Formats: sequence, C-alpha cells, structure tokens
Amino acid sequence: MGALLEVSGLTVGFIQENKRILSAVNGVDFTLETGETLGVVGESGSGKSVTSLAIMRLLGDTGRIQSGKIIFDGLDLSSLTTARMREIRGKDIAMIFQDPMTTLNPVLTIGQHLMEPLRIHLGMGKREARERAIELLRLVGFPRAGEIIDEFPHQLSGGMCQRVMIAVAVACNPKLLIADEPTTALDVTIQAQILELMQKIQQESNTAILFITHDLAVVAETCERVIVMYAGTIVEEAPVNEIFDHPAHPYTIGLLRSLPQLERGSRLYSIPGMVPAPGQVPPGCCFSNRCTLAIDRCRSEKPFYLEVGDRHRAGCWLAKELPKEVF
Amino acid sequence: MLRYVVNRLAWTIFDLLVILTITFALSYLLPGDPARTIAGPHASIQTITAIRHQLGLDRPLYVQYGRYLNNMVHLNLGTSLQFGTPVLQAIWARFPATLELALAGLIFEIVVGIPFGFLAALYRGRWLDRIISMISMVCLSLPQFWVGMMLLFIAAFKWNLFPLGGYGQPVIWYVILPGITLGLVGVAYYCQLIRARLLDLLERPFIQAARARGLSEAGIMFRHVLPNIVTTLITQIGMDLGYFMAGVVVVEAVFGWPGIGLQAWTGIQALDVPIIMGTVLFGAFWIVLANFVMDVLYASVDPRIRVS
Repeated sequence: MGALLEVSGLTVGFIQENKRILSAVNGVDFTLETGETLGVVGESGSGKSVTSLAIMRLLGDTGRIQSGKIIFDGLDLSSLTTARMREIRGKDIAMIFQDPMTTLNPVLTIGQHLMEPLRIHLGMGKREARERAIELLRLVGFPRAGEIIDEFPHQLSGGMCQRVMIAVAVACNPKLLIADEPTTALDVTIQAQILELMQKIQQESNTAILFITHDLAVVAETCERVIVMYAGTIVEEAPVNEIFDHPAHPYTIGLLRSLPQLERGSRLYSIPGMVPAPGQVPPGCCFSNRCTLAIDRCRSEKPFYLEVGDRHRAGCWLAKELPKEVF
Repeated sequence: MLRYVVNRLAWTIFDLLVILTITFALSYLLPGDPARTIAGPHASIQTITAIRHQLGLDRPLYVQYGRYLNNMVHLNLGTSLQFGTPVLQAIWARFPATLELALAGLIFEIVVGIPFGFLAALYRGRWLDRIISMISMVCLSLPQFWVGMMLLFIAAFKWNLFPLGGYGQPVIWYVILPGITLGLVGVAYYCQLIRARLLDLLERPFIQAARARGLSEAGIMFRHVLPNIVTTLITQIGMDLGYFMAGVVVVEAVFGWPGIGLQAWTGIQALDVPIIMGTVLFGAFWIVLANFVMDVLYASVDPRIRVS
C-alpha cells in the first residue's frame, strides 16, 4: 500500500538579494502512512518548518523547490498548478501554526473563520456551514459552541484559540494535518489538553499528523515515529521508543542530554557551537564541526544512512559503534 | 456597542464645552474693543459706554460666561461687526460652498491616493513603487498656493479647460481645480499610509494561515486585508473631513472660493470678533462631530475597540 505522503530528495532554497540561492533543506526523504503521527524534531534553523511549507507550497516569492518530489495520495505536489494546490490546502492537507492569537484574523468572528473552508471547499450554504461550525466547536471541546461562534479572537484565551484553529483545520476532514509547533506558545496544562484533542481527532478520523516541534517531551507523548533534522538534513529516523532508548546519532544524543535532569546540582548540558546558517554548513557531515566524536572521515565525506535497527536509520559514520550508555 | 456610543457622546459634549470655554477666554485676549468698533472712530465716550452696556461687556466675567453659554445653546453666535447680520447666518450662507470644496478634496485624495498606495505595496521594491514614492514626495512638498496658481494658470488660463476661479454652476466644473489643490498633499499622505498599512498586514501570521486554508490572493485581499485597512481609512477620512470643514483659507483665497475660511480671514483683518469666534466654533464643532462619527464607525468595524 502506497504511503500517504512520500517526500524524496527534497531540496528547498531561498533566493537572496544577490540573486544566489541558499538551500535551507537538503535532500530530505521520508514517508508518512495514513493515520500515522510522525514527529519532526530539530532546533530553529534545522529546516523543519521549511519542509512543511514546501509540502504546502507556501514558500513565498523567494522560496523555491530546487529538486525532489512530494507525492501526496498519488499526486506530485511539487508540479501542481497554484489553482490546483489551493483546492488541496485546507481540504486534503491542513496546517496549524504556532501562535494561535496571531493566526486568527482579529476582525472576523470565530464562526467566520470556521465557515470559510466549509464554504470555499465544500460549497456549503451559509446556514449549513453555520450548523457544521457549531458541531466542529463542540467536537473540539466548546460546550458553549452557540455563543463562541459569534465571538472574536481577542475574547478567547490562547488555548481556546488553538482549539478553534484545530477545528478550522479539520473542518473538511483532511487526510494530513501539519502541526507546526502547535503547543509551543501555550502553557503546559493547556498543552496537554491540545495534545489530547489532537490524538482524539486522529483516532476518530484516521488523520495523519506531521508534528513539528523542538520539544522532545511532546514527541514522546504523541508520535509513533520521529525524524530528527539538523541543518536541513535528516540525521536520524526511528520509531519513538528507539529514539529515546537507543539514539544512534551524536546530534540526537546531544539533544537528549540537553534535556534538564531533575538531580540537584546537575549542570545543564548544551551542545557546543551553533546551528550553521544556510550556506555555511560544513563539508562532509553537517554536524562534524560540533560533534565530539567526529573523525577525519566525518569532515570530508558526507555520511549515508546506516540501518541500526528496525526502521531505524542514522546518517553517521559511527552510528553502529556509538557507545550504548550515553547518559 | 450602545454603551460605547453613549460613552463617546458624553465625551463629545464635554469636548465641546471645553472648546467653548477656551474660545470664550480667547476672545478676551484678542486686540480690539467691540464696542469701539461698532461705535465707529468718532463716537463719544458716552456712546461707547452705552454700547458696551448694551453688549453686556461691563458685567462680571462669570455673568458674561453664563450669557455666552446660554447664547451657544440657543445657537446665537452674535452679530457680525462688519455686516450687522447674525454670525450664524453669515457662516451658514457659506456652508454649502465649504462642504462642496471639502468633499471634492476628500474624493480626490481617496480616489487617487488609495489605489496608488495599493500598487506601491503590491509592487514593493520594484520600479513602480519607487516612482510612486518619488511622486508622493513631490506632492507633499509643493505649497498649496503655488499648486493652485499653477493649475489656474495652465489649466484655466492657457488651456481654457476650467473657469478662472470663482464659484458658479455647474459647481462640479468650478470645484475641480480647487479640489485638486486641496487634496494633493492628502494624495501623497493616503498613498504612504495605505502602503505602510498594507505591507504590515501582509506580513501578519493570519494572512499566511488564510493561504494555508486555500484562499486565493483576491480572497485574502477582500476577506482578510480590507476589513483591517478600513479602520485606518475611517480614522484618516474623518480627520480630513473635519479639518476641511473648518475652512481652508489658502485654497479659498487663491480661487476666490466663497467658503467660511475666506470670510474668517476678512473678519480677522477687520477685527470682527464675532465672525472670527463664530468660525472657530463652527470649525471646532465639525471636527468634534467628525471624531464622534469616526469613533462609532471604527467600533462597528473593529470589535476590539468596543471593549476598551
């Protein structure tokens, strides 16, 4: 059975002022099955958001898909016309963004936001759309749906706004939901509610979720598989338990070590150095200049992926020899 | 919403009261003695004193203030020292011409300024944007009297397309040149305002979120951008209208336009205090009224305002 989403060899760049193009994503491959939740983990600048924007073809005037294919449900998204892509956005693939307070239009009611995709993609009339909107609000946990529908975003809290965003996103029953840091701007208790809601929706409609985050705890909570991105490349891919129990890439290990420990007096570990800007990625392995285990080969040859377990691959020359105990 | 309107109305009335009081105080600072002006240069002291008593100028200040407020409520703005006719009547006679000029200027500003602002924003950084910005700068810098005179000289005198100033029928033919003169600075201003606002809005996350829902660029413009721009426009248009209604002396002088500005100017020269004060109050009233209408319209479009 073909995967719902197959990304192969995706390279995305942005045209600079001097007309040259700098790549933010370099040769990314991954697949996503129907109903699966895939986590995309990485720091700022790793290329995870750019990847999702590339899938949605929302790269803006300066962004370009330089090479690669994005096959969604049999369609190659990278070669579709803008008009055709618009039919897919909001209907078959939906996206929710980081800060819910700024992703809602302040002068439109909650109802107007919800009815928009219903009327545009499903051709619903006003009355029908309004009823469906109220249903959607109940689905995401608003008992007072009939009142909320006429309120404005500034009258709701951050958590409520994000639930509205989720309602808007699932309005047309998309096959794929891309969630770009959906809980980063919310506090922890609300975060839990939102994650729970997303899981409930996924179970009920079998929606696949591409969950982009820098928060490993969230990944552990919600994802079945994880890909770790660094400087525009995937450095490791594994089922979620494997990633935490047997990380096979120094970067992943570094991320895990950076998680605060609860022991008294423990110092926070941070990976030495900084994420390279696009265009300044070191030759050979992209992580070689910050890696404590790097050997000469790492600096000169770009590693290919080594299988280190069941559906577990890592882009590191030393993947199979890494010490098991890293903590 | 009703609470908001009532609240605004209360403040408007308060504003008017403050303006009336300040105007009253100002009239005492102006040079000239109304009694002496009415009496004429050869009048005797007794005549002047009698007139002063008649005008109530010998009563204590608070009594005069009370009478003043009472007059205001009854819309009695006094009598012109030059013409001997009621001030309100004199001003009201010039009101239609003032309104016509104000509207002409406003329409010109909006019709030319806004589309150019849109173009400049949509083609940001490219040559069209640069040209529009340059032209804006020029428009902002040209003095009104010069523009007016140039238009008269070229369009009216040389090319004979428009009348050489003045007021007549059909009004539209007479109002075009003064309207352009009045609105030219505003064109540049609206253009820059719209451009800046549009650029700011287009960067906002909710615009990207709307794209992610599959909206076309036109859909985004109409459903998401325009409602947010309308508030800026309402504010600016309200202010302009109020300001124009207070009289625009320079344009009226250049074109011989029979508006209240020119009347106030001659009043100043003749020290016709009632006319001066009357015009000030008339203009202030319009500005305050325009502000009130603006506030209400703004609140009806932007729900956030009603709460604060």
